[in-house]
Amino acid sequence: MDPDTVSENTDLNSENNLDAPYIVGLSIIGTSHEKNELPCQDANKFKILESGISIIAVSDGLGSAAHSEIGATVAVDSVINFIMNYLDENKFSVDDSSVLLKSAFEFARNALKMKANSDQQPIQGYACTLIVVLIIEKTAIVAQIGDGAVIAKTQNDYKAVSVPEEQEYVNEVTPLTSSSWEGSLKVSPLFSDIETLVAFTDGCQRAILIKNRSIMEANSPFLEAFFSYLNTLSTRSEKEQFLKDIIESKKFSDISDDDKTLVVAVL
Amino acid sequence: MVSDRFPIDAITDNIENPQQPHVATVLLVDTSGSMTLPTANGKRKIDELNEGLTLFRDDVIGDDLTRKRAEIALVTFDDKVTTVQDFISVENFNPPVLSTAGNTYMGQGILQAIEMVETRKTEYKNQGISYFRPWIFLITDGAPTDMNVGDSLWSSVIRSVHEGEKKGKFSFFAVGIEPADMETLKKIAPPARPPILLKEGKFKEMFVWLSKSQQRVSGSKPGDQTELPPAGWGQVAT
Repeated sequence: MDPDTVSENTDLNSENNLDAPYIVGLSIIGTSHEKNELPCQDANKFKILESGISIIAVSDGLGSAAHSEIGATVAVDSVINFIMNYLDENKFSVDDSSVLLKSAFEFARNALKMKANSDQQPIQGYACTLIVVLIIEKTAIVAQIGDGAVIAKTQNDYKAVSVPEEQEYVNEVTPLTSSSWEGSLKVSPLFSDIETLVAFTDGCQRAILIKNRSIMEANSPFLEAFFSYLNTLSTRSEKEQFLKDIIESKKFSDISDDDKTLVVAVL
Repeated sequence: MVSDRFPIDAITDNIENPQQPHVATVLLVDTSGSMTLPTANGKRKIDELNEGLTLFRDDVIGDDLTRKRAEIALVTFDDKVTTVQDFISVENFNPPVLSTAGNTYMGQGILQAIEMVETRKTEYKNQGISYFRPWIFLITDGAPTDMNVGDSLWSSVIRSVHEGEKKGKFSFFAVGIEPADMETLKKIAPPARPPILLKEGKFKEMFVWLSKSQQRVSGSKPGDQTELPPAGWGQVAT
């Protein structure tokens, strides 16, 4: 673990009580990927830094791309590294968040390009979505390309902070590897007074995000029940097992046989 | 495996059973007189086609997810264009026994298929159903007799197919069975998706491929391009 990291995906003290602020999250392979002998093409990474800033990255490698599981991993790793380096070397102000996120996405895309070049493969083979959440104390901002979403609870109300770009077809997205990625990158406004936050890939989307006419809304009853129970659990390993059981549940599998990633922040 | 130490069902009961997204395919099939002629294995083309429809249905319903998502419509063209079956879930599709007659009204058949997928998408939208890009799958052993290169129906068909494919309104597949006029078919098919010549007697393989492709489309997120299983049953016209 880096000296300035308080918490990350693999916490050695997973049996200790986990007090807020904390982040737990995981990616699981979907039933269709198992059946077709595909790897899990989702990836996630998160960090809580001593400065009180947290970063979450989730990525979904496209099923049509030959090396998308590598793409997703490179995307989350590079984007987190970029932001950590930036925070190390610069005095950060919340007002810089949007610009920082855009630069981080550009950096991640370059990382994919370099990986593709060194493997002598076309960049499209590494196609993936990417969602990055920056949490500064209790304020969050999200940048997103492709599908998946982020929902936050503020003042007892679950709000969709970042939702997928409207596309006619359910399965078609603009990935980070697209030449037109910049036009599809969306950066949310700042959301303050956040108590909890969830970031997830499209495998979880139809469970947690409800489309009401054309408006995407949070599935508040589910999230309320989910967080109420999560709060009763003490250790990281218990909370992780609970998350795993939720996204491997029959309901989630009925909704999607795709890979699933769910990352939860409790502030 | 989900352990039983958490009240997972009680929590996930807050998630409504979702409406499955749909993938609509129009099978646009040549039933002109020449389809009664036998292929090299001695079977009549129309019989092979009829068997293929049943095989397709059975293969699709063998896949849990695709069964819930795939919809099929069947349009034939000979001396007229007939919607033998409007969109129906593949599960409920009862393949008819097609018979043959006369000419090859392919141009009008294509326009009808395009209109049907557009109507279906509007219905999905109105009902709040998510959907995948529809497919139009043309199978012919001849050449159109209702249009000639350059006439007004021809221009309308070419524009509708090429623009529709380019703008992502649908994916258009053209399959020729010997002795199909592949040169004409090449002009009709979208430039990015040239027609495929069915290898002798590979009807069965083609319908299984169609089913597997539907499973792949409906089961994952292909992004801006669907990677389909290799079409071992055909040869891409060059």
